[in-house]
Amino acid sequence: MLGGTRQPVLDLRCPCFTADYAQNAIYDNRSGVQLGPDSKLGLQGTVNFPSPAWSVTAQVVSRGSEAGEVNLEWLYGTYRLNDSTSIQFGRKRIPILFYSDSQDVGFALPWTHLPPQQYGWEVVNYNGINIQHVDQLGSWDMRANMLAGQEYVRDSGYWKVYRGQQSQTNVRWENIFGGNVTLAKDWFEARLSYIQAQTMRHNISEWDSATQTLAPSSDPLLAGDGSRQKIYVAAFNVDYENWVLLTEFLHIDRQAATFNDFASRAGLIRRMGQWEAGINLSEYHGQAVVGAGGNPQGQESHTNRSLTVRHYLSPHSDLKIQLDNQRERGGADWTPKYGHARLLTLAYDRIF
Amino acid sequence: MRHLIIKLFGLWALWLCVPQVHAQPVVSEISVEPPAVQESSPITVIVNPRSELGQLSRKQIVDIYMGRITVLPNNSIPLPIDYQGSPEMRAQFYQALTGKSLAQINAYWARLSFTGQANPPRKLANKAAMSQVVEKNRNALGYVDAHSVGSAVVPLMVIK
Repeated sequence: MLGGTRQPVLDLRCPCFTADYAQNAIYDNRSGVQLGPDSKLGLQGTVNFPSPAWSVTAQVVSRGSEAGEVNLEWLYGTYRLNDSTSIQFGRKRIPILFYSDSQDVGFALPWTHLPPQQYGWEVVNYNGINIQHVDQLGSWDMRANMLAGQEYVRDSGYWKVYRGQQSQTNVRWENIFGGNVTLAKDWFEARLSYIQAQTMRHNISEWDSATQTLAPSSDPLLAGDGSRQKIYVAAFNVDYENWVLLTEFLHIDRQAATFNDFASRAGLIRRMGQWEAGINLSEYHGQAVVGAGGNPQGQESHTNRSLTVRHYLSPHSDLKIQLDNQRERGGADWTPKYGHARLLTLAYDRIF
Repeated sequence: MRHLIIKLFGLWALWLCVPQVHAQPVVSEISVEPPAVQESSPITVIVNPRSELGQLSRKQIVDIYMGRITVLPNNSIPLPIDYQGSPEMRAQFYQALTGKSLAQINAYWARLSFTGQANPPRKLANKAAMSQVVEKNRNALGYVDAHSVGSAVVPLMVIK
């Protein structure tokens, strides 16, 4: 952590930079190198059966944010209906955004971590079924995916960011349904996504500093037993010669909550042989739903600007260095204001 | 710190404005076979003499090797073949075909294959194995250096 707003926030000593909300990966004001928050080691394997139509894939990940505990994060079976269409069932990443399902594959990302303004959500996996299809639409290449399922997160890492490291919140997404379609032609690629789900949060407790105990709490954001949410995402990428432009826009319509979400990012990358250099701007802001009790003057809002330099050490490994400059623009009524933060991260990625 | 950030952005912007000498991809893998391809030897895409793939455009070859096409308009199913080793030839092929380095191609496939969206081309050990599969499979396509195109396969396109 290079600097920022020095202040205690809940049970954290800030400046704080949340690299991964779902995993509660926070860099705070500790001096020196912080190895723990966002380091990860993953192993993925696929078993093919005598029938080439069937396979099973599993992925285990060990995370620094969870003290190195190894978790089975993916386990799904694939049945190939034909060469264009396959059905998958089991546990997978929920593909909300362009990089959502590859967020733990560092070598696949142009950054040391995903832009947190856009990729910070309470649910990143789901249990269910999806069907994907590859086809041609005229001269456009198309990849389509439809999914349905549900997810239950016990002791959500995401909500520890907002309610304190000692707090506990269980999250349930039911009736997840949606899909995405990717269209590509030459140097242009577009991905459109829609997912809806019923969001519920239970067994909430917050840390009471005075009594040093966990006290039962409630969720001021959701009326009754939850809210139906509709997630809309559009990503547009240009990959032309040695220039890459990456953009993505997100809107979440929470029908019974006090606010809706808007997030966007735009980045430009220049390739130079084995080197890449890029800048990225990302932004998040909540928009109050006044009719549901939201306060227009008290909505969470922050931006981040980053500069990334990547060097490919081999065809299977790279070294990345990234400078982030997070600017706080507003803390909501219900959440603390974390302040500004400047972070320097170094990442080594290797795939086998 | 703010001044340092501004300077870093400034240096980076200046760097972009300077004409760059683009180095060829540096490959650090060790390969026993096949031997390195001479720079002057262009890569040739090969198919079966009785190929059912039809006349493929360069765009279609790109799409097939990048996993964007799994069925062709004539309903044939292409079977792209790649090399397990031979990083020099692979690097030359993908640089000529897509303009991307081998590392960038691997990063592209890392996103698709680890997430179950698509599988990269089947990989074989060497040119002999590749030629053998192409000889026996009407839907297969592979690539070799121009000097190694055997009589049992047909050159489809020279990738420059």
